[in-house]
Amino acid sequence: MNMLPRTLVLGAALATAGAGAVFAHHGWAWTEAEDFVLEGTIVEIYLGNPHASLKVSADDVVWTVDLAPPARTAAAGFVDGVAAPGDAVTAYGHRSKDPDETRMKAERITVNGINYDVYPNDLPS
Amino acid sequence: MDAMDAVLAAVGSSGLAEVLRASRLVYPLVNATHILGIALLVGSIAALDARILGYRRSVPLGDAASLLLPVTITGLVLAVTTGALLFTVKPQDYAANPVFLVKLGLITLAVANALSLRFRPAWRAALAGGPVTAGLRASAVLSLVLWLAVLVAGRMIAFFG
Repeated sequence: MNMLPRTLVLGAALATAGAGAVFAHHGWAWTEAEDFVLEGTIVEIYLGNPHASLKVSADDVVWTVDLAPPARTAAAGFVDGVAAPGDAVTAYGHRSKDPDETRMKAERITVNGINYDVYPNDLPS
Repeated sequence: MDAMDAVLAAVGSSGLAEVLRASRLVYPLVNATHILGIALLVGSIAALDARILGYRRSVPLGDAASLLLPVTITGLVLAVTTGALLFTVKPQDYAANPVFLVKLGLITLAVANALSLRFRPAWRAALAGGPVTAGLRASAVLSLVLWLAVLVAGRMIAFFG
């Protein structure tokens, strides 16, 4: 009666903890504190729920750039049609703490000379 | 695996998935309903498990079960239905997410544990006012542990995986 539940809890905890952070997008806890800038070419644009995101190719490495939820991303002006795959993009924000994970969360992206500040409060002055 | 990939791709490109991806209102409401389902499910099962473990013995177990189990089942149906809808938005990502897979495994165990009661004479006897056996108490502990693990795994999907 006692051992089984304990084993299951431990197993679930280990499975959860060991899973790494390839899917992490909530909050900023998974990102480094230092500012990070990524320059590259847009490969793919996703504007849907739960979060908008870009795939960005930089030096032949494809990065995932998390943006804000759809409403907030649109409020920043980044809507369907303002950017397309092939456009140059500069993303300002914070990268994953995992050095092997090519993923960042952006506060601002710049495309075609226009700034889209999806998390303006977090931008360095 | 190719068949699986094809199914996931079809789910992701369905009209339903596109509505959920693009909607400002529907997606958060489905999300909220998912939480409502979890609240009803975990809240009612926790109360019933507590009763099985000896809390409020003055309430007959049969009465507690007849009040709480319909709430549990309603919650489960809501949670599973809305969970399937949320899944359609990024099916490949979820299917490849180890935390999500752990969650599905835990749900399977938790539901199997709950269903197993129906086939146990000791459960029928306890509902009719008989004694609660050690086996039933073990199931109640397992139920609490599993459903809480499901809840934690579900929340972890957005942070790990």
